[in-house]
Amino acid sequence: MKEERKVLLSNLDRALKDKDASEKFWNSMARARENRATLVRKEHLDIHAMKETNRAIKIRAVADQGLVEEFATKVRENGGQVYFAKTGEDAVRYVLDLAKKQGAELIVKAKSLTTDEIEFTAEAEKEGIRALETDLGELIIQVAGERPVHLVMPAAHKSVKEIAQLVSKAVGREVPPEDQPILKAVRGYLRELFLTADMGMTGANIGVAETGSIVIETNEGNGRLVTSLPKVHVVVMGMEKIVPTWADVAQLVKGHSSSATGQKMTVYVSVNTQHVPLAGSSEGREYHVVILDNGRSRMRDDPWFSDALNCIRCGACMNVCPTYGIAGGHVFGYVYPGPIGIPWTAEVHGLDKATFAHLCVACGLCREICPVDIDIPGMITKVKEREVARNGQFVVNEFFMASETLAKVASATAPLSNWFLRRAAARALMQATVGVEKRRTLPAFTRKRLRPRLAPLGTGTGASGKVVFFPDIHADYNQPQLGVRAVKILLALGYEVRVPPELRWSGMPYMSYGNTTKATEVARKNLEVLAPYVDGGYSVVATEPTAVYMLREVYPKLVPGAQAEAASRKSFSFFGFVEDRVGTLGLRPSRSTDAPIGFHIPCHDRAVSSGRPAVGFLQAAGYKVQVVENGTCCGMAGTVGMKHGDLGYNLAMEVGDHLFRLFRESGLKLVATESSVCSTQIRDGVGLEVIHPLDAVEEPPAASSTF
Amino acid sequence: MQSPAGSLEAEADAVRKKFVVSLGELRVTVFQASSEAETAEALRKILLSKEAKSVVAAGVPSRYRDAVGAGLGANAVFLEDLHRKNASEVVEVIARADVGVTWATLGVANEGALMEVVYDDSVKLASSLPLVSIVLVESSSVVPTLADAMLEVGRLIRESPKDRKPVISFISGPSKTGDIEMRVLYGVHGPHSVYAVVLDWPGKRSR
Repeated sequence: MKEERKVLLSNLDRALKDKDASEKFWNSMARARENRATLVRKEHLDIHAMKETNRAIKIRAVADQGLVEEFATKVRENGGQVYFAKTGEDAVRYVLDLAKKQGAELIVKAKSLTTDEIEFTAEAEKEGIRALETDLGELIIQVAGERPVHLVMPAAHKSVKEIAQLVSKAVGREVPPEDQPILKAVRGYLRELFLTADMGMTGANIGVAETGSIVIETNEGNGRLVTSLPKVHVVVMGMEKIVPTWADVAQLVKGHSSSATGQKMTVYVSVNTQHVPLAGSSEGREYHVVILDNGRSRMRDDPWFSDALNCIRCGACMNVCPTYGIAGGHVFGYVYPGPIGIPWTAEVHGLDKATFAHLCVACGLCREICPVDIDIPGMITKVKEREVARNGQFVVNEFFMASETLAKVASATAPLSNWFLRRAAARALMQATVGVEKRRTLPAFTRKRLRPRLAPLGTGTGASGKVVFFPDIHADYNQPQLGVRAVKILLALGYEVRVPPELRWSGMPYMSYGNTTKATEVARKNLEVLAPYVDGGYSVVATEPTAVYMLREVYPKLVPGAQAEAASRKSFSFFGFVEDRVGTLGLRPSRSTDAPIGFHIPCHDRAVSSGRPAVGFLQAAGYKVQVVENGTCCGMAGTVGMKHGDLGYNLAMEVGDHLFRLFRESGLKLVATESSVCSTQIRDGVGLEVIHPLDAVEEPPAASSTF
Repeated sequence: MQSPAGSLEAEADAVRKKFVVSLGELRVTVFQASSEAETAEALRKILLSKEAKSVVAAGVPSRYRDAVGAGLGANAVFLEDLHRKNASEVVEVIARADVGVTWATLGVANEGALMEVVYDDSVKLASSLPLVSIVLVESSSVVPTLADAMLEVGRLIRESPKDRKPVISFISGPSKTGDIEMRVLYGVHGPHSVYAVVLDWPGKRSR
C-alpha cells in the first residue's frame, strides 16, 4: 500500500481509538449545527433563497476574469501596492522581502486561511521573522505546533486545560485552566505585541472591485488592531474573493456568519480601502495587497473544480460531515480540513495530501448545508478518482461497484445465495477475500423480481398522469413487494405506470468510490431510457432516496445537457409525489398505532424533502411519528458501512453510535425509514425493528381505484 | 386612515425599535436620550457603573460635544484635542483608557450593528482598545438592513477623494470568542462591554 494511504489509515485508527477526543469533537460540531439551526428558526431564514442568491453572486464573480484587474487598478489608484502571486511561494517571498525591507521583526496576523494555505508563519520563522497569530484559536494551535482542526474553530479539539498549558507557554507564566484568567493573560500578552508590531497581515473575506476595498469579518476584534496599529498592512487574498459591487456584499457577509457561527453577522465587519493615517501621521504607513492564484486559475477552467472557488469559508460542511465529526480535522484534512478541504487540498497542495478524500462517505450533507450550494460531493468523487488512478482502487470498493451484477447473480440463485450469505464461514471468507464486513447484515435477495410481480396489475388508466417507476436495486432484487405497493398506490391514484426493463440501477457506489466513467455510463443509459418518457410527460418516481438524489442532483453533473436537466426536474421521491393526496388513499396501519413509530431521515432525502412527505404518509395511516435524528448521517452511507475495517464498518458504527444512543433513549419499539441501507444500520446498531413506510400500511387491493 | 407621512413615521419608528431590540440581543446595552441633559446623564450612569477612571472620546460631532463633555466629566480626553502629540503618544492615551466613546454614522436595525466611519485609525482604536466602548448614534440615522448600509458604504468610499478613503467598521456587540471549548466569552481583544446611546435630539448648532 502506498505510504500516504498507510498514514491515513494509521491516523484514522488512532482517531477511532481515542473515544474521548472523538466524543468531544463530535459534540462541538453538534453545537455548531445547533447554533446555525437556531438562527434559521429564529429569523425564519429562507435557506433555499439564500443559497440561490449567494451562488448567483459567486458564480458571476468567479467567471468574470476582468474583476481582478479592476480591483487591482482601484487599489493602486487609492495608493496601495498590488502584487499578483502565481504561487504560494511567490506570495511568501513578496511579503518576506517587504518585511526585510522594512526591517520588520514582528508581524501580527489576523486569522486568514489563505495565509495558512501558503504556510506563511512557518516560512517566516525560517527566515527569522516572527509572524504571530492573534486570533485566540489560531494562537493556540500555533503554540501547539499544529494545523487548524476546523476552518472557523481552529482549536475546537483542545480542552481548557490544554489551552491553559499552551497559553502559559506563550506568556511565560502559569495560567490556571479557567476561562477568564486565560482571556486576561492572552489580552495582556497580545496587547503589548500589537503595540510594537512592525507589520499587520490579514486575509480578506471579500474584495470589492468597484472601490478596491476589502471586507474582513472577525468576532474577536483582533483584525481591527492588526489593520491599524502597525505601520504596514499586508493583505493576502485569493483571487476568487473579489465581487463586482457593494450590492453583493451584505448577502455574502450574512451568508458567511449565519452558516459559520449562527450569527446574523460577525461582531466586526471591517472595510479597508487604504492604510489611513494614525493620529494624523501617514509616515511609513503602507498598504500592500497580494492577490493569490496558486492553482485558482486552473480550478476556474476545470468544469469539476471551479465550484470550489465559490466557497466562502464558513465551515458549515465540516459541522455536518459525519466522518469528519469522528476523525477530526487533523485526520480529515491537510491545511484545509473537512469536505471542502478535499478539493482545495488536491488542487493547491497536491493529490498526495488529499488521500483523506477516502474518509468521505458520499452522504451529500455538505452540499445540502452549503450556503452557496457547492457540489462538494461531486468534486470529492473526482479527487477520489484521481487518487485511485495514482494509488489503485480498494478491492472492496471494486466489489461494491459491481453491486448491480452481484444482485443479478444473487437474485438468480436465490434462495441458495441467501443461505450462502447467512453462513458464518462464507462471511468470513468474503471478509478475508473481498473485504465485506462479516458482522454486517446483508440484504436477502429474491428470485421473483419486480417486473413479473407487476404484470398482473396492468399499466393503469393515466387519468391523473403518467409515471415511470425507477426501482433501483432494492425495490427490484431485495424487496420487490415495496415496488409493488408503490405502484399499486400510483395506479389507485389514476396514474399510468411504466417500469422500462432497460433501466439500470442508479449507480451511486460509483460516485462513492470515485469512478465517474462508470457513473456517467450508467447515468447516460438511464437518461436514454427515460428521455422519451420524460419528453412524453411522464414523471420519474422512486422509493429509494439515493435513486432520487442521483437523478436530481448527480446525473445533470455527469451528463450535462437538457436531457438530464429535464429528467432531474421530473424526478420525485415516491412520498413527495403522492404527498398532497395521501388523505384520499384511505391508508390503514399494518401495525399497532398505540405507541409512536420512530422515523429516520436518510441523508439523500434531506436535500429533497427532509422526510416530511414520508412522515405525512405515516401520520395519514394513523401513526404518531417521532423523528429521531442528530442532524447528520446514520453512518451507513450506502455500502460504506458494509466494508470491513476502519474505512468501512468501524467508522460507520462510530458515526452511528450517536444516533443509536438517541434511539435507545427514545424507548421506541418500531422505526420507519425510506432507505434500505439506513434500515440495516439502525437494525444492526440498536436491534430495533425497522420497516419501510410502505410496509407500515395494509396491502392495497390489486385492482381497485382506491383503497 | 393614516396619512402617507404618518405611515412613513410609523415605519421609521418600527425600524428604530427593531434596532434597539437587535442590539439588546447582541449584548449591547442601549440608552435612549432625547436631550442634552439625558445624553449627559446616560454617559454619567455608564461611567459610574463601570467605575471608569479614564475616558477617551473620538469622532464625536461638534453638535454633541457639550453634552458628551458634560457626561464624561473633566477627566475625559477628546482625541481631537491631542493634535500636538505624536502617534505613539496618542495610542498610549487610548490604550490606557478604561472607556472609549465614539460615533456611529449609521445604525442597522435588522442585524443590530453600529457603523463607524473613520479617516484616522486612532479613532478606530478608541472603540477597539478600551474594555468599555460607548457608541453614540442618532436615531434618525438608523437604516433597516445591512444591505441598505452596504450601499451607503459603497457611496461613501466612491465619493471620498482618492487620498482620503474612510475605514468603515460595523460593530455588533463586544469582542467575542468561542475558542475555549466553544463557550462564548467576551473581551478577548476589544471591548468587554458595549453601550449604545441612541440620540433622539439633533444636537446643538455649531458654536
